[in-house]
Parts: sequence; structure tokens; C-alpha cells
Amino acid sequence: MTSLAPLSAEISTMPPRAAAEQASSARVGNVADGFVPNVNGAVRAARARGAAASARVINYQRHNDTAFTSPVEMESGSEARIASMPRKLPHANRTTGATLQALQQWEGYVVDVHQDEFTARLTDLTAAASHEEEEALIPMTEVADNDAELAVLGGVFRWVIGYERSPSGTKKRVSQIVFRRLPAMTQDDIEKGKAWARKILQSPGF
Amino acid sequence: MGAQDSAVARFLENGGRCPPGRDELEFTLIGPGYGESVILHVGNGSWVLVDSCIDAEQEPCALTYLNGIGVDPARDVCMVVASHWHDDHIRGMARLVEACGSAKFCCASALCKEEFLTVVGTLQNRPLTAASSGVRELHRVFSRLAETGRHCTFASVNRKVFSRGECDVWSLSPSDRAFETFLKSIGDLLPAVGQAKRRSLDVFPNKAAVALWIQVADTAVLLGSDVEKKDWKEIANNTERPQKKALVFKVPHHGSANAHEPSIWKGMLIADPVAALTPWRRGGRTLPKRSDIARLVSCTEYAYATSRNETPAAPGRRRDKVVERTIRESGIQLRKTGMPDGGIRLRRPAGPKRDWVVELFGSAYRLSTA
Repeated sequence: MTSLAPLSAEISTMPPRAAAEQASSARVGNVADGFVPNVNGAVRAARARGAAASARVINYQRHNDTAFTSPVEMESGSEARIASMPRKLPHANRTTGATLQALQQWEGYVVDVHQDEFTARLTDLTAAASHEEEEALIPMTEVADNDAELAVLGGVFRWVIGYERSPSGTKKRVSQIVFRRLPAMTQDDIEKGKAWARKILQSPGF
Repeated sequence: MGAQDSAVARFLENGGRCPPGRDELEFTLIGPGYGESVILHVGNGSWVLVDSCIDAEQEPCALTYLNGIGVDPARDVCMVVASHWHDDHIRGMARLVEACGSAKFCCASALCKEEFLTVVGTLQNRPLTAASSGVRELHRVFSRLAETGRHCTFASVNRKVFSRGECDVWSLSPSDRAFETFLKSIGDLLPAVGQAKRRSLDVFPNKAAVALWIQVADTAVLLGSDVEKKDWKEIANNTERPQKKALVFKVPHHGSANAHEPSIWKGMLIADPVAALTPWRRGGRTLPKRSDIARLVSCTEYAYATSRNETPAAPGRRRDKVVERTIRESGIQLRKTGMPDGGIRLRRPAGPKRDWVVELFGSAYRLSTA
């Protein structure tokens, strides 16, 4: 079971660059992180659909391809922290030992749903953007079958393009869209919201 | 595109740095490709800012502009207004409020009701996305105001929200009816307990937008925010609002037909006023449509937009060739959310029967040339 660059709910509380750094250092994750593991599932779904692939896979024979570049650019004051980060992503699949090198990552949310596709707004995590600069029209065939029900208004996903390397040296180029299984609203969430509202209303300027 | 490449920066570099005279009025509308911000000089070195948008460097455009013409936002801005909470009107608002430390903050009274604040507080309790949103920006604004004890003014129908010297600022909306409708719709913003959370979307009809009437001596400006047609009818029929006619009109809701009310053009604006708007795009929908442009041109000879509805000529982010190829092969269509950036600056010396000096920068254009 593989989860790519799991995005915990807390990531959005980080500065965008920090979020990008975390996103760039993909690690082993699980469902609790909010992302449904679906690399293998997506590939299976793609095979089942024939040419239409939910995770587009291209086999590469040039094993020494070094197209990967760090998505995190150096910034004054953060060199030491960034230098300590892995330049290549660690093992992302403990069962197969495959690793994923993310070349590009976006975070997106659905703003419109059509019959066979949906529109999403994207924030470029690789570029550490803080707001949506791009919009994508995404065919539903790009979404894993078990994620399709999550492609609803306000649904949040991660889109990763990168290389997956197997221990045997096979290199695959992958594009995958992984929807988050968002947590349920709780009474505690609402109580905290109410407490914040009361705090605002009781402040002197209001 | 860096800040230095923005339309505002280029305009400032190319002769736009001169501030207005103390008795000169100014209306500047900036559209960085997504969103809008109105900057007004209301005389005697005092400035009013309405709504906020940011440039590619995430700096509020209004701050870039004011700093560029030698205005000190902390001292000279006397009021900052958030006309409503949609993403395209509020990005960078928290920074703006912080930088304009002596300014009053004004928003619709509906936004400060406990019901709405609870929604804001709940949604921001554990944010779901890294991207900014109108809700997050409001959360920052209110948190900052509460921390500093700054005064907040609430806008509603026919309320004088600011007055200094010869300048009066009136809010013309939201009406009581719009207020009630807004409060009823708030429930839709929050999932019920047990339901999955979702990213808040500002697609709900906006019933709490603040239209502003800004009058300096004999000169008035009408700012339409995103107020819709039904609410404009109420505003036009209201006998208690200021009864002069405005010379400048910030066209509501990006020129959309659902915000066009003929009685406004007949009853609240002079013949052939200066009209200014920013374009908007979401999914396959864009504003203004061709029909909107034709309608606006029929209403006034002096209608302008900060840019055309088109994809920027400048390329988006440069990406790895492998990434570009993979995007192409995936069948996913990627496009920039923004349009080209631009701005419209109007200046006019105080006094009757003076003409506005119109300066267009970036991709701004006159609608009649479309």
C-alpha cells in the first residue's frame, strides 16, 4: 500500500514554503493521513480500462535519467533546513520497495462537477504558491475508481507527477490524483468556532 | 511574473509615481488578473481603500501602489472596506488592515453576526487546504482587529460609515431583506456534524455585499461591489439615500447581467459617467460577456475594464519538460486562473464641471474598442 506525500490537515497551517517542503519529502503514509493509498489501485484501474489510465504510467529504460530537480528552491535563511532534506524521496512503498520522485505537486479543490470531468482550482505546492493560480479540467478517468465519489464540490486532492522507481531499477513516469478523505465535522469543531466568534464579538472594537 | 513585472509596478516606473494634489480626487481600480481593489483619494491626503487583491508576489496591490506614489498607508489611509467576503475581493485584506494601522475597518454588519463568525471560526479551526480563501482571510482580519482593539464599522442600508471634512462615505446595502437572506444561507456553508468537511466555496449568492456612495463636496462615486439586480432596485427606490448623481461607477459583479439595473443608470448616475470594471473567470465562465460589454457601451461612452477576457500573453510557471509532457498526455487541461493585469486611474481637481483625467495601464482598455 502506497501513499504519496500524505497531507495531514495541519499542513495548511504552515507557511506555503514549509508546506511545499513537507510535500516534497514524500514519506510512507496511511489512510489516517487523509490520503487513500492508490498507486497500485490506480494502475489496476487503468489496466482495467485499457488505454484510459487513472495513473498514467510510462516505462522508462534509461535508468540513469536525472530529470528530478528539487522542488524547493533555496531561500535566504532556510539553506540549512532545506539542505538536510532528502534530495530524492525515500521509499514510498514498503511492500515493493518502490520509491517516488515527485517532480511536480499541486493541491486542488473541486469547484465544478460535470458529467465526465470536473473543474478544480490548483495551488502549486512545488512553487510554494499561497493561492490558486491555475485551473484544471480533469477527466474523471484520471481519478481512481475508489476516489470517484470524493470528486464533489469542495473535495480536496493532491496531484503528483513524478517517477516511480522499483528496486529492480524500472522507472515509471506517473501522474496521479489522490483525493483526501476529509474528516467529519464534529461538535467540538463547532464549539471551537463558537468560542472564537464570542471572543471576537467581546473584543473592544466590536 | 514578479512584482516588478506587474502592471502597477510598470505604471509607477513609467511616470505614474506622481501623487494627486491635496484638492485632487482620485479613483484607481486595480485588477491583477483575479480580484480587484479600489483606491480613492478623498482629498487632503486622506485615502479610502475598498477590497483587496494581491500581485504575483502576494503583496496587496493597493499597498504597492500607495507606497509607489509616496503615500504612507499607516498614516494616510483612513478607511479600509471589505465589500464582501468572496476570494476575488478579499485576498491580502489582513495585510492591508495591518499596514493601514490608523484606518477604520468596515464590512457588512451581517459578517459580524455570531452565526457567520461561528462558521468562519469553525472552518478555520483546522484548515483543509494550503491555499488561501475568503474565509481564512476574514479569520485573519477579525483576529487581528480583536487583538489590537481596533474599531470596526458595520455597513448596512443608508448608513454614513465615515465622515471627514467634505468627504462622506455611505453604505447603501445590504438591506434588511438581504441581511435576513444571508443569515439563512449561512447554514449551507457548514457541513452538519458527522458529514465530511469540504473546502469552503464562495459560490453562494452574495447577499451581504456593500455598495458604497463616496461623496467629496459636489463629486460622488458609486462603488457597486457584487450587489445583484434585485438589491439595486431597492437601492434605486430608496428615498433616504444621498440623492446626487455619481460621476464614476465601479460596475458591479464584473459587468454581469444579473447585476445590471437600468434605474441605477437613470437615477443615480450622470449621463455618460465613467464606468470601470474588472473581468472574472471561473471554470468555463467569464465576465463580462460580449453582450455585457455591448450593454455597458450603450450605457456610457466612458466604460473601461482592467483587462480583456483572455489568457495572459506571458507564459505561466516554467516547469520541467517531463512534467509538461505528462500533463499533455494526461488529457488534463490546465489554464491560468488569472487574466492579464491592469488598472484604471482617474483624477479630477475639485470643483464643478472639471473633466476626469483617465490613465489606463497594463492591459486596461476602453470597452468601446472591444
